Amino acid sequence: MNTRSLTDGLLRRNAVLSEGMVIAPVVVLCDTLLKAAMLSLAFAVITILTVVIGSFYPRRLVYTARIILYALTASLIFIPTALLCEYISPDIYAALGTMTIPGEQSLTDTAVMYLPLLTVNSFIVLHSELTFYHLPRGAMITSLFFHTAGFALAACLTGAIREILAYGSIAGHIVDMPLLLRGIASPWAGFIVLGILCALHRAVFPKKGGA
Amino acid sequence: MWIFTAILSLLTTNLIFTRALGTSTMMTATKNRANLPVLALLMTVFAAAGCLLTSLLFSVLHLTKMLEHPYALGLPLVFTAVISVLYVVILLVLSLFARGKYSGYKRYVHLSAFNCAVMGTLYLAFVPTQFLQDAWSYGDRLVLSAVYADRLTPWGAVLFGLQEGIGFLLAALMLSAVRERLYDKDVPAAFRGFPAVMVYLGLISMAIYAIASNG
Repeated sequence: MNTRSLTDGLLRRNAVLSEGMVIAPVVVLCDTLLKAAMLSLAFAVITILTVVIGSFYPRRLVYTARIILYALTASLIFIPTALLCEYISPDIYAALGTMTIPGEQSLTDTAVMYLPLLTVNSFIVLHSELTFYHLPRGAMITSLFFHTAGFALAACLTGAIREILAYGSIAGHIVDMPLLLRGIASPWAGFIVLGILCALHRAVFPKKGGA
Repeated sequence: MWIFTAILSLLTTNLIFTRALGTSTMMTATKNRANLPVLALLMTVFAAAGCLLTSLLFSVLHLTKMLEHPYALGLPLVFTAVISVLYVVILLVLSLFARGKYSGYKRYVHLSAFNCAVMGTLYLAFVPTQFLQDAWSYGDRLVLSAVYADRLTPWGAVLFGLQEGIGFLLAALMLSAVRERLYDKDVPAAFRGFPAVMVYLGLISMAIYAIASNG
């Protein structure tokens, strides 16, 4: 097994920036660095545990049954993961249920679904079968680790940029910004910031054959 | 006029443009124009039937306790179980009635069952916001009944699911219409494809938020 291919998930084949996976939570929730960090933690716990546990399910089960089992396993793992996140920081956990709506001063609480939605992320329901279960278990865990680290990198980068531009702070610490663009915390700006980061990623790691 | 109002309503509550739910699935759907109607139809079926089954669980089996903290942490299990039942039923129906084309349709079913758009629709339909959770705690049934009465009825739930499914189709059509230009060789190589799609979705989303915030 090529070591480089296992670590590709961190940068070259980054799940968010290169493959366009797990976009919704990054676009909506990652408007501050701390929220992005907690989202990354939840993503890593749910994804790594589910895929590793799923690798022990008998392969003679039909594909449909396996996918259902993976989703159910992830839903079970979500419960202690959410409790863990709430234990680490109740404030950031509560903030993960919020999203910024343009034109409104306060955050609304209509984003409670994004953390639970990690239970059906494409690593679990799609790429576990397509990629991870074709690797030996050790290599699979290494590859998973780098993919989740890659997700954390993309999420935290998006969160940090949006926090600086929208709130003039980084991880809650004030940064001297001459102009604040509150709208950058909105979902529409999440798309645009992510698009620009993807373009930068592509400029550094060009894909074969263009798009 | 009502068509204009309906389209505006579908846009301002659109899963993709306002909440980014199902973006990856939509990008798969628009890769090939032949994919689009089948995937959109299946997503709509999953969303509508999922809402119907969940409304029955909540109103007939009285599982509304699940909407309260901390029981709400178990909601992904309930929603996954609902989607799993539909997943199996739809595959069985297809295997019975579309035998020749079953293997072709099967991959669309796999793609449209477990994704953010379907699961997100169930959350949007049934999970109260903090305001409603407070109303629930204080026993303010009037507030709850005003907002949720329609979704807890089977017909109201189906309508909500249909609305979200059609919203997905609308968003996919809007992306499909410009997809070739976003992947054109005239677009700078770094932005070509996925990055351009993200920026395009961001601009549409910004316009929709502007329309929604101006009433």
